Amino acid sequence: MLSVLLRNRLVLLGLVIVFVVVFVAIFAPLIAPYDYAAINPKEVLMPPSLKHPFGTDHLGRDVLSRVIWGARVSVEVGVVSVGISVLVGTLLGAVAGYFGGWIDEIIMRFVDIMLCFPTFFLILAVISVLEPSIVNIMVVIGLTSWMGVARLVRAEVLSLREREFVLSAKISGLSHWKVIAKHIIPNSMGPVLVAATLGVGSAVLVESALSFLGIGVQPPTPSWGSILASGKDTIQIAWWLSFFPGCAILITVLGCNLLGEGLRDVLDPRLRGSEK
Amino acid sequence: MSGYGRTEPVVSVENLHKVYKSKRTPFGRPVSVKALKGISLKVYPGEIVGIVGESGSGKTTLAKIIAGIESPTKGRIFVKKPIQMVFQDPFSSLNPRMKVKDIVVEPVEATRKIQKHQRFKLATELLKKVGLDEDALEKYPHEFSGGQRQRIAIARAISIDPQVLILDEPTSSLDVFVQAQIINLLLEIHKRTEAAYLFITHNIPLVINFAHRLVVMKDGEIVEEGNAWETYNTPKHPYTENLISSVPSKIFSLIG
Repeated sequence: MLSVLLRNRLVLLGLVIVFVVVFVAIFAPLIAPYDYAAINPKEVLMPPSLKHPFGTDHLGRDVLSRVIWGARVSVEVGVVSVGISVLVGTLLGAVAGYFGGWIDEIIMRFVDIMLCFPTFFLILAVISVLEPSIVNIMVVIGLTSWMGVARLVRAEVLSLREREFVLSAKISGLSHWKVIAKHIIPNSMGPVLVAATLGVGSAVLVESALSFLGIGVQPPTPSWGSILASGKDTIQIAWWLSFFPGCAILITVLGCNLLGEGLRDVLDPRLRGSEK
Repeated sequence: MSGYGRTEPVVSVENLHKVYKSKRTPFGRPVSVKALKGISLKVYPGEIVGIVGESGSGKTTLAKIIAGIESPTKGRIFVKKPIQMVFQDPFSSLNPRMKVKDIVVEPVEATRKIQKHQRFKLATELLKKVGLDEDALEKYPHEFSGGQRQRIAIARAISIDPQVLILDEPTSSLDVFVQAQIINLLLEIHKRTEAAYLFITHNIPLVINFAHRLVVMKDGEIVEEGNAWETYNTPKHPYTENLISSVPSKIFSLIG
């Protein structure tokens, strides 16, 4: 499976980007040249230089250090919120597909209802009622993005439940929950992996947007979205304040999407026979 | 095989009906298909019953109802447990994400808890019974050929010493040579156990080599039933005759 994945250059690029972002996020305290919150009134809005490769902001803080620390927020939000959405989506999708009937009907209508809400405004509304904190953001993004996963898993389960190894497990007297846990869910994870990787990208975007609007991660914790927001007033005199965090968002989301699409190609049913 | 009449049957179905209904839609009426129309059948311990018929004759539906994964629309059913089933396609009858050692002991595990060292021993013994060595234990199903996979499926099926073993065309996706090996393996296992076999196939010349009794199904009904050789040599129903003449009988010489 890995060799097929690595044969595609773009996928490899996606993989490298994701690895670099995660690496930067984990080792942020070691990599960042300055303290992300250190204010220096003498070096306000300095353009990129050797001392400050990404320049400084209106409070004289080093933008490179802030972007590096911002990776932490993005990775955390991406991973945790997608984790929540995969967990909820897989569970509901598997139950709906496996049991069918009225259970399926109720769960899938609930999915339809959830899909009717304009997700971003729902998140905005919820966050403005709750306190804007990183935990709340992750939970809210997770709980508003599981519907795609639920649909994917349900579709997989509908075909899986008729497969002989599932029938064989039922004949052997395994309980429904054991059949779901041992046979159904492990075999429906292929498309979920793809959706999850793509989901990380969109979660990063949503978090940046929320932080840009000022209801995301709260200062002094730097987030790519909030750095962008702080640069919007001075964009005509200090482009670097918007440019670098913008690039970080773009590259990260691009990396997730390239990897996700590569995984989709690899996990295509026609290639499943050679997969381990 | 009249001797079987004196013991209690391990499978007994009476007047079994199964109707499949399509979902109700806003457009048009639901369509219903009668898959079984009043099947009555008894199978006795140690008996090999060949169930033959073309695709759509209801033989697999009957097997699924006996195995307990479908429920009949009408009729009475008694099956002595444990029951196991070997499926036609060995490529979809084994979970691709489980190791062979876990696949073969799963039916046992469903009934009782087994310790780790017993598990290993049990799995090794089971593989030995079907002619595979213990290298197979740690492997995944995709690392085996069709014939080997069918052996793994059989090892799994016999792990709990079933009273009834349903074989749903277990050899029809295999080539002729492997087919003969699998049949021989099944017959060898049959000699050592008391399991009754329900052998579902459309290959009459194959099944009469070892079946005691033949049940011929057509459109959800049993059209003929009787001693295997007699039915083969002197079919009473034209449909049976048709089935016999439509299958080439190359397999004969390969069955030992």
